[in-house]
Amino acid sequence: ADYTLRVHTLVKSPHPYNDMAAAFKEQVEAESGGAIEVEIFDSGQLGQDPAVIGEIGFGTIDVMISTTSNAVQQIPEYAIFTMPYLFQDMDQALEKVGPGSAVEAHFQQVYEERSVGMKLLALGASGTRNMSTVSVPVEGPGDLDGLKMRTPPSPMDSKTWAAFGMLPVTVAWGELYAAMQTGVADAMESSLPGYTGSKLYEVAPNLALTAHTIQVNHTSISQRTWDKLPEDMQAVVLAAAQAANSFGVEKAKGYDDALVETLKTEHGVSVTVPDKAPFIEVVSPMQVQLAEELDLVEEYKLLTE
Amino acid sequence: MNPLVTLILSFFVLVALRVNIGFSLILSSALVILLEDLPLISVVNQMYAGIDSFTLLAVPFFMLLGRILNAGSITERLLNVADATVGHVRGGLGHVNVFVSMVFASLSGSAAADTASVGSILIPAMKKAGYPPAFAAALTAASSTLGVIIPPSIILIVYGAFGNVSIGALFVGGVVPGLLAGLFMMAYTYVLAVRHGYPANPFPGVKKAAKVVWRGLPPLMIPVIVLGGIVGGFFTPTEGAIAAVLWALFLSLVVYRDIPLAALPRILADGCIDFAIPMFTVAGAGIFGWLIAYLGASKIVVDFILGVTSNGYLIMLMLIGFLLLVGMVLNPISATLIFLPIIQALSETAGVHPVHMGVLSTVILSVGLVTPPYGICLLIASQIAGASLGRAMLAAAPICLLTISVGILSLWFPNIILGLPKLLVPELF
Amino acid sequence: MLTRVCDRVTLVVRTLMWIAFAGLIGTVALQVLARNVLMSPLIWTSDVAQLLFAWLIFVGAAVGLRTGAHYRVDMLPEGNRPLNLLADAVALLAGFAVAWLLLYYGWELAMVRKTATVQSLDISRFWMFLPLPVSGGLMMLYLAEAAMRLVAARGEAVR
Ligand code: NA
Ligand code: NA
Repeated sequence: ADYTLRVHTLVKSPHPYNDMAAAFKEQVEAESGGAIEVEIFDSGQLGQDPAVIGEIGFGTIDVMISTTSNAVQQIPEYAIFTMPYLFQDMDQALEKVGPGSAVEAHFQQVYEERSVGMKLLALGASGTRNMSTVSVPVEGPGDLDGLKMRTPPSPMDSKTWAAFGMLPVTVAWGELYAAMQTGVADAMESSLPGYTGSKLYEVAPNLALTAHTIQVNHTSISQRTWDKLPEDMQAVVLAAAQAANSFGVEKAKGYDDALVETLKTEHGVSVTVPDKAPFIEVVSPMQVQLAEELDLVEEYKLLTE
Repeated sequence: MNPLVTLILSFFVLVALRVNIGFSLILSSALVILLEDLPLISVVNQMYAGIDSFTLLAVPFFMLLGRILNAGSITERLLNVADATVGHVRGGLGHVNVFVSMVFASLSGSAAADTASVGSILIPAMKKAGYPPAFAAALTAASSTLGVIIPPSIILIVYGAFGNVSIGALFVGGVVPGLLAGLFMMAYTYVLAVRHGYPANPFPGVKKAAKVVWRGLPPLMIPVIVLGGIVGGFFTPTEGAIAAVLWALFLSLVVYRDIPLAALPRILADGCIDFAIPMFTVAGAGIFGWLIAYLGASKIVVDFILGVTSNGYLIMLMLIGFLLLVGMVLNPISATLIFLPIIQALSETAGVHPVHMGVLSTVILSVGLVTPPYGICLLIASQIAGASLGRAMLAAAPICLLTISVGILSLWFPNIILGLPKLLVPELF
Repeated sequence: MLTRVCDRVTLVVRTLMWIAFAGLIGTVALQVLARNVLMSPLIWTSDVAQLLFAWLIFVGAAVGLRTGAHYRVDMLPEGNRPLNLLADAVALLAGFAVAWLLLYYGWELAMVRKTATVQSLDISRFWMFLPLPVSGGLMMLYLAEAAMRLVAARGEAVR
């Protein structure tokens, strides 16, 4: 092969990101007529996202498929996607942020302005994020009051959950299991594959399908790698990334439904499906103000208008 | 030349030329990066990524704890406890040596600190009582590595943090194998003592012994605070380390008043160097380990071992052999970081529980602190004893085998490691 | 002269180091306190701790270079003076190479990360990466001192 693309994901299979990487590999290798070879490094073999984004800028790693919120260090505008109840479901999210959208164009520009050395290939949706707790089954917002809520060190997360009367506790993802086990935190939110893959159901066996955010993922390529590719190969890569992106959404829907079943039947997780309306009632009055405080007004408008 | 071979070869050449381990890791990585036409900025990016972890923050506090214990009278109190309880058995000073290290092990996460502090008191005493200097050095060094196995342990923290294993469970899992290795060492000392006629210390009487033990109880609260706090539900390992530091400071500054407040800046500044050096090596291991992954080495090693055998026990024995070799040239933290993907991939195939594997690999890597060429504990101990390194090595070999045997035994009796975690953190199994 | 400069620098750096270490202990202690006792968790503590941690590691490693605290494996025969001098020279050169990597590329990395922010503190990530080049600079200073010593020692051997 003339070119080798190293693709990074942070997650263990089964996970839509790894399915997307596999689909990307298959299409690129086939359509490029063997000119491009794709190597997949899953499970964070090449490191955590902040360092990997650095490497992509330098051109040592070529492509990454990951969650936008993991990139907020370098692209703070991505914090908008952790604002709860922006989207109704995955299809609507994909319509808003997917290939050809104004949101996509906006973030392509943000990449350039921030000179991260990456080019955005596609934004997609990869599942819902839900609340899980150690002991209290959550039926409505009232049940959240007074719980210690694990968040990443991000103002968006801590301010949102504080609005529900929760005490936001910053804990690294890698320490989350221990933190839940020891009572450092007694509530957390995550994607369903993340919850299952890290066996968090063992320590937080009450799952509430709040679907408060749709997890938005990005497929990004190193600008240096992109510039090295001839135009026809660029087209092949872009088309494959977009195809993988839609494939990812379909996969994510399947996983979410199946995982809820597995969690219930095999791991004894008690699942509640609270009504979303009272949650939205708490969050929606503060959305505009949050966007203003965090300098995300432009992004907020793009997503809501 | 294959870049992986270049990487490992150049590392060894630099180490042999007395370049320090951290620099050797960085420079051999930089060389391969240059040869592979990759950007050198990746070196610093991955070095930083190596230490960018909240969990690693526990390391400075446990290292500082070791320094506080030595600066005041806490180590001395513990020595007295050891003497009052096991000193009167035949080979008394040898038992005191092992026993105090087991206790020290449950307080701090640093083996080298234990070798230096316990060794400087007990090695001269052992020599005077007729123990050969080489044996005194070997026993001091080998028993101080129990600190790496018995919690709190920096290596177990690193394993848990980067391998996504519950650190609380790993800590609990390290208790029994650590105690077992210590008991084996005491039994070995007893056999030698009978054969060579090493003396026992006089027993001070029950009343006096009880008083000495009582006086040692407050510092012995430290493992209760750390382990109890983490397993029982109050704080993370990092926060547990802070609690232990504050308790030890409280004892030394307020209760015993044997560390003057004016000495604190010096203790803190020296404490910084104590953890900066191993963490800088961890940064070096960050880029070195990243290149190993980038160049696809773990797949090569894993495929090789799995090509030889599919028997779980054989896989694990080969992994143990591999870790023994690795432990000889790398400190346990760097070794854990660099080879974690290989360790986890192989143990998963062999069906070994992640908690079991974390403790097992720590047990095996701890032996590297005694074996040459990177046997930092034996270096310190033989220097104190005035014994030649060669003789100390010979005397240490059987003691190392005892530690290794605990690891190997756990393959057939997993409950050596997993028994206690199953009891205390059953939700993991 | 150079030794005096190094003495002064070390004194200042060590003072800053113990203050920062005390700050690190205070920050994490405050985190436990805020969460368990005051029941009002703080979101900035972990980022401040990480910042101090990075500074202490890289600056501490540079200071440790002067006191010979780094791990080294000694396999060379002791008696052979030329061989040992050669090894010392190689170790010095290796040191300069590492110091240069830290100084030059560490600075470049800090500049690359300048556009990223530490959200909880609302500061540039530049400050998180600055210890890399600072460490490289300090190492250069101490290595220059060691080089002077080595040259002096070699002079003695010739005489
Ligand atoms: Na000992
Ligand atoms: Na220990």
